[in-house]
Amino acid sequence: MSENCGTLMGCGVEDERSFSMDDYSGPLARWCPGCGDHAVLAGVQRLLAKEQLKPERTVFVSGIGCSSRFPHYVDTYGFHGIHGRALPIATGIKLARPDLDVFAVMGDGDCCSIGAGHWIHAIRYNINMTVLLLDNNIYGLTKKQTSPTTPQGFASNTQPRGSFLPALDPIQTTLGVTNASFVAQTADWVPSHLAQTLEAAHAHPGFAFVRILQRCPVFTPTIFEEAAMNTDLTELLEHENGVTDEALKGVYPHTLYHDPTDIQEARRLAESSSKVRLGVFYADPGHARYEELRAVPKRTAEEKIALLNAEIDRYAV
Amino acid sequence: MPSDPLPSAIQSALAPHFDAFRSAVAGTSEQIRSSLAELDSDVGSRLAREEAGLGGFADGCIDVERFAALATGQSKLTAGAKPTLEAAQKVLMEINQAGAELNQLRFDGGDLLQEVHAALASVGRAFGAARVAELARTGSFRKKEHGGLLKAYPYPQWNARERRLAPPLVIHCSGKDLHAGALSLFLDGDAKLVLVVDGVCPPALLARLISPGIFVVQGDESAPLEAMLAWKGPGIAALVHDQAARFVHDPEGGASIAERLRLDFLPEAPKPRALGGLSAGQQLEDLQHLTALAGSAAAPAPASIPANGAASAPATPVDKLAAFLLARAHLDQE
Amino acid sequence: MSSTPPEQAAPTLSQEAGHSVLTLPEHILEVLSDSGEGAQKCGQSFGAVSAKMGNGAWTVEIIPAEIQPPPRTPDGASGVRIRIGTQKITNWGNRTKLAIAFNDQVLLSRHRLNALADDAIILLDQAPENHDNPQVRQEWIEALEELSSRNYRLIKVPLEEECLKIVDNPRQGKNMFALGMLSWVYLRDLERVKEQIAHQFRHKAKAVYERNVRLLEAGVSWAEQNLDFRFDIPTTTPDEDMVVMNGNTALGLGAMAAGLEMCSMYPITPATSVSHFLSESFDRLGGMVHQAEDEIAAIGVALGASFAGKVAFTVTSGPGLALKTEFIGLAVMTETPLVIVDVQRGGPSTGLPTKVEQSDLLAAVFGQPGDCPKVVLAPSTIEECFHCMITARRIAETFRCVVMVMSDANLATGQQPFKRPTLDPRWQSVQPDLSEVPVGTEPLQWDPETGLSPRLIPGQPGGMFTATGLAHNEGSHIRSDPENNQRTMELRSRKLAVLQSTLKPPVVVGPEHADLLVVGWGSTRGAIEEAIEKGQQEGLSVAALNLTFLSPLQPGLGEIFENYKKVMTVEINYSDELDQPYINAENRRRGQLAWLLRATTLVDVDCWTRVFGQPLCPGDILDVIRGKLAAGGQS
Repeated sequence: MSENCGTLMGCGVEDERSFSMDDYSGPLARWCPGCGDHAVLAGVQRLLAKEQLKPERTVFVSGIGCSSRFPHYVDTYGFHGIHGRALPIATGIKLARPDLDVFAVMGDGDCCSIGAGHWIHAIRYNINMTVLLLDNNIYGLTKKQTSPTTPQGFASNTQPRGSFLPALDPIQTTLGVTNASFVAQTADWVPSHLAQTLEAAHAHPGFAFVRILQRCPVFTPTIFEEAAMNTDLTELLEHENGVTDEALKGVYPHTLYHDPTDIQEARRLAESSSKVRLGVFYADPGHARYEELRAVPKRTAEEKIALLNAEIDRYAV
Repeated sequence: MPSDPLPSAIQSALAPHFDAFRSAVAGTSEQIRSSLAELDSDVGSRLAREEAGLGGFADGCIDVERFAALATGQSKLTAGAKPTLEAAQKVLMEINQAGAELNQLRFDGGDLLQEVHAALASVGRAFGAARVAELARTGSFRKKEHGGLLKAYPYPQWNARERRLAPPLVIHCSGKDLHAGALSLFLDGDAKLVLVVDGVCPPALLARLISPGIFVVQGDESAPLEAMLAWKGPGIAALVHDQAARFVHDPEGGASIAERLRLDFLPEAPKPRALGGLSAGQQLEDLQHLTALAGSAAAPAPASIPANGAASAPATPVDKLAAFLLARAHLDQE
Repeated sequence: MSSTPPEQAAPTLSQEAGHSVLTLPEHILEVLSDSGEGAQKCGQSFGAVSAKMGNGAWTVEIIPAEIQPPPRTPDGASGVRIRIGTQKITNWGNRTKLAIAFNDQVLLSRHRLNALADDAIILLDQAPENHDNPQVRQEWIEALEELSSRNYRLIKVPLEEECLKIVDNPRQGKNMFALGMLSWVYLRDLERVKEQIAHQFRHKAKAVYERNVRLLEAGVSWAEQNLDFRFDIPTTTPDEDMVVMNGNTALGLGAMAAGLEMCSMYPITPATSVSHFLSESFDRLGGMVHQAEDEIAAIGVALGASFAGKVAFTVTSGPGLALKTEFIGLAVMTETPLVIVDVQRGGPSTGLPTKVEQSDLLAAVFGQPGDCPKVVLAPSTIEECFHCMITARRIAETFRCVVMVMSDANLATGQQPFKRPTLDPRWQSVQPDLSEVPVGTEPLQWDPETGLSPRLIPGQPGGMFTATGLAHNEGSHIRSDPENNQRTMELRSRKLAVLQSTLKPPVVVGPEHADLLVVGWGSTRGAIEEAIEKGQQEGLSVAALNLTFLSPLQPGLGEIFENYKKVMTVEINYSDELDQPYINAENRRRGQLAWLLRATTLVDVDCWTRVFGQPLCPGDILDVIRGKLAAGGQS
């Protein structure tokens, strides 16, 4: 039902175009060499090509931060917004135009700090969009300030003797919000897992939240170093309704069969552990979706005027 | 022709689909309105349009002529497009006005295939009108070639997108007139059909239509219509009297028929009479077909069905019916 | 209908059995109660019925700041003032001539505010006089003592006692009884009053309606038996269809009529009722009210919807406007059309949430960091609340800009009859045109002269671009070079000059040359124009000017000002007075429109402003005019 944007115009023409990854490439990305964002961009472009998403029907929305440059590097429609506010913009786009395929790309400061209020509510609205949190545990664009996800004790320019508080866990937080419908975690250094997780998220009908652990070679090179190098420190969550990455069989020794419809187990798995857990924590397509609940049929001008006149009659002298 | 009110559960399952289509029709009509407005080429009517468009607050405040000079873009349309656009808009407004009635067919006997064809061709005028409007806007409308699109736009000519966007067609019919097999033609092309069957009908009315890509639902008012309507391929549902079989064939259920077919009810004893152009024997064949499919769907292998009716009491309705059919088979040979 | 000065016409008196009927060109009355006793419902019904009978009318709600203030306190007074007249009424007038008060304390509040005329008739519930609680009895004695300082005609009414004959809880009955009394006093058409009650209780059981009608009729018959005066404010049958509603309803209806398709908002007094109204009917027209999680998200969602091709607006008040600041900047920078309605209230900070002020003008025009040109409009009547939405949308889309609509609490809750709008299909929005974009089209293809550019909408093949709040070029590509930044600032700014080139000079009310020009904006228009009309009748050389466009200002102001010896603004916002300590002509902080006019015209524009949290009275403005002219300049 959401294929048309309230019109039949254009549907008489069969769209026979096909798109390669290059068709989705914008100008050369200007992230630092070695930045995990490059891997995410490649993963996303791969998804776009695999799903053959029409560039003109796809919109990337971001806030402010290193990762929020993302829309500029994808040749689709985009809205590079303001700090913390990617989700309200994406919500507006999707409410106005359910026919558009919307991606929101945020950083950890963007999503979990200044935009945390919107984050909570967007999870609850459960509007159908793919939401990527590029989490490098630091403010990068403003040069190394502590973010909510910075590990306790990690020194930054604003907390030089180490971050005071335990880091906020975005997976735990998301899973705690009423009406959360898809929560997954992946990492920039596992491209095949990243790709599969993005596919699962995109296919999910609702607010598909993916936290991507993302290396910042300049400000937080040490944080994910061990996890990226030592496969023993990772545990993969596998399930046919989640992600099962055949390519990683034998590479990662620890896998856990986890049914992503089990929210209690998902929450338990999200609690801090000595291992980094990658995979789909929770996915249930049955949750209420705000844009579906609010969909209203369009009216012609004549119909609107007749209804409005009836409304005005109530105030007639 | 007004049709009987649909049961409320059915109505609420269909409503979003009807609304979405009607909404797109209204939206298209509004787009044509703006194209037509662009066509007001003479200065007077353009100014009048701009003045009206600015509203009463601008009276005495805004110099309409100057404002209009800024606001009016170059129209890409030629004046010749006007009658065509108006004709297309008229069709869309008619369709919009007709609302859900347009998507309902009352079949009183005759050629079902032809009537469904006609009903869909009439719905299709909405797509035809959109095509015509677009052709007019790009200056490539040829009356001889395209004019017919506004009168009827037959289903076979619809493209894949149009088929996906089309609303389900509800067919109100009497069970005795119905030969649903005829509808397979439309199911080959992604249609969604809902049969509201009045009175007695063949007990396994839709059994012949069960095939891997088709969502088939036969049942009462509580039948899972939503799932069928949401399915991305072709689908058919029949709401039947309570003596008919109830089942769901969901193409997404799995690779094997066992995973796809769910049999909720099999009737006890179909009366031996011809219905909907089907002889009693054909009806039994259909029921047998359904039973066989269901038999392979049900956990026990067909082999476990007793070879003669005198075997111990069957455990499932499937077994029961199979036993019954086998027992009667020799009586119903024609 | 021109507003002839109502009080000039001579009253006529006639006698009927047991009472006099005084025919007057206009009258002001108030209904006052504790919060929750329904005085507003009573008063608004009375106003609506009066308007429907063909009177000019203007109602102003008296709203306590708290939802449930303690009963029997002056601060908790809740009520409504209704001014009705034979001719059109444009403001709440000066002082009340008749008040119905449900207790002595709420009456004191109005007495202390000097809101009651010296010879006002007061109908006061006598229940407190013999109350069980001695403290209440004592307060009653003290209140009557305080009230006796004026020449009021105080009539005790057994309001509660009479209501108890019909209902168990008089708190839910006094307002209808009072409506009955007023209906008798003002010769209202009872059938219309009953229709109004039926409409009000349309969602309730029939028994509720019937009980209220019994109360109404009891009020009528009590008044008939006990009161010796009636007022006839002759009605005129309007020669065109009229409607009566408050400004927030008018804004909501105007938004729908304008083809706006989404109202994204967050609750804030006094703007919220726009969304209450819209929530009831918007979806039937294919529109939506989205209640966002906060003020910031409210504008963000509107902006996103607008970017995606839907015409969206947001509605807020001062504190909300403050929160929306950054997003307004983004809308300006990305040239995304957006309509923002600000129903102004008392500020700063939480200020006076339920009361009127015009303090957001400069915030609207200048209130964003960086250069942030946008259009600011101000409706001055309830009718304009309806029509300005159509203009606002059209300008926002044509200029790809933000349009702010400045209403206020006075317009928001006041009711006034006006000509029924004739709806036009051309106001309705159309679906975005998603046809393919010609190769080479840029998302910000600025006309080098005007800065205007056509808009691309997601869904248009070949038009892909990323809107950004960073400095950018035609392609919406990030650019930080000096030349580009200078040029793009110019282009965004020039759009206002281009809009101004389509505006006509504003029209002065009164003489083209005079000693004084009083300039106002927004809801003060009625009071200012009534004041100068009276002033002219006194022989004062004064004219009035109302500005509906505040950014850009309408052209020709400098030339107009040259025709007057003095120019001053009258506004409901704060300004220093020269006789206050430390204040002098150099450091004086002025009324907001005065700042704006001084800066743009270089004329020494003076101001008189008050922040009483209530509308201005024409009488007070007239006093100011007299004072200003007496202080020199009168030739």
